Amino acid sequence: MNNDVMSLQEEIPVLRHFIEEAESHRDEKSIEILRKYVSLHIEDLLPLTKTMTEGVFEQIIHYMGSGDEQSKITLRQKYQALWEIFIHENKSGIIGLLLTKEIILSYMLLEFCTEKLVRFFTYASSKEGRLMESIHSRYLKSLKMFQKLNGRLPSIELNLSQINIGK
Amino acid sequence: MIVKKGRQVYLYKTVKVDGEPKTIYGGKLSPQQIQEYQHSKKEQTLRKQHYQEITSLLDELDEFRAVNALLMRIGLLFNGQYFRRSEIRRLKNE
Repeated sequence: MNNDVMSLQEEIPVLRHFIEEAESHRDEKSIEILRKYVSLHIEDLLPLTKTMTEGVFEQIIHYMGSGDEQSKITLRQKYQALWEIFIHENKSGIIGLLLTKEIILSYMLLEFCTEKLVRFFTYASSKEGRLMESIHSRYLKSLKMFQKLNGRLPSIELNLSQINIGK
Repeated sequence: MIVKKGRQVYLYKTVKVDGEPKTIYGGKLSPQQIQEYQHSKKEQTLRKQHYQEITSLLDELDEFRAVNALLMRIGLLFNGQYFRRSEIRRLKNE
């Protein structure tokens, strides 16, 4: 974790406090305080999620590609195509975009775990089962939230093999 | 664990008896058994490695989700909405 990310994470409890105040009071004054705080820090916060997203995205691609550069390129193309499907469906601005990141990353992690589960966890213990359940529930949660915001969503059963990469 | 003495390879197992670890002699191993033992050890190491990879990715994802959740709550508040019990509600209806 770089220093920028670390110093920003110290600001997060302050931001959380202002959000909770605004959600609890639900008045103009507390929303205005939040608006002022965010206007001063949004330029730091958005790149923070970008850095985090890219970090997790590249790490999963790296593990899934098993060191093969060509596989990594294909995987990147597949997930970017999936990313674009959600962006196309998104009608709720930045919130939808942030959710899209969550959905794609959770989906990728789910795919990665499934692959490893089949290959290495043939005798999966309850510990590994719980891990899979936890990843699956995170994926479904972000997907359902996307649906609530946009009124519709790409099929939950969406399979990567259905995506035409365009050769 | 396996122990090599000269040309022979012997198997030992560590078990807990009344909370105390005890090493039990498991006999001499044939070349095929040695191969199977090494294969299972390799699988075990890989499995452990992958489990660690997944849990560390999950931790990173959770960290990202925490920041993301805050930004989404901000976005909703600025649009006159807020999260309450996993629902999106309008500020003015309250």
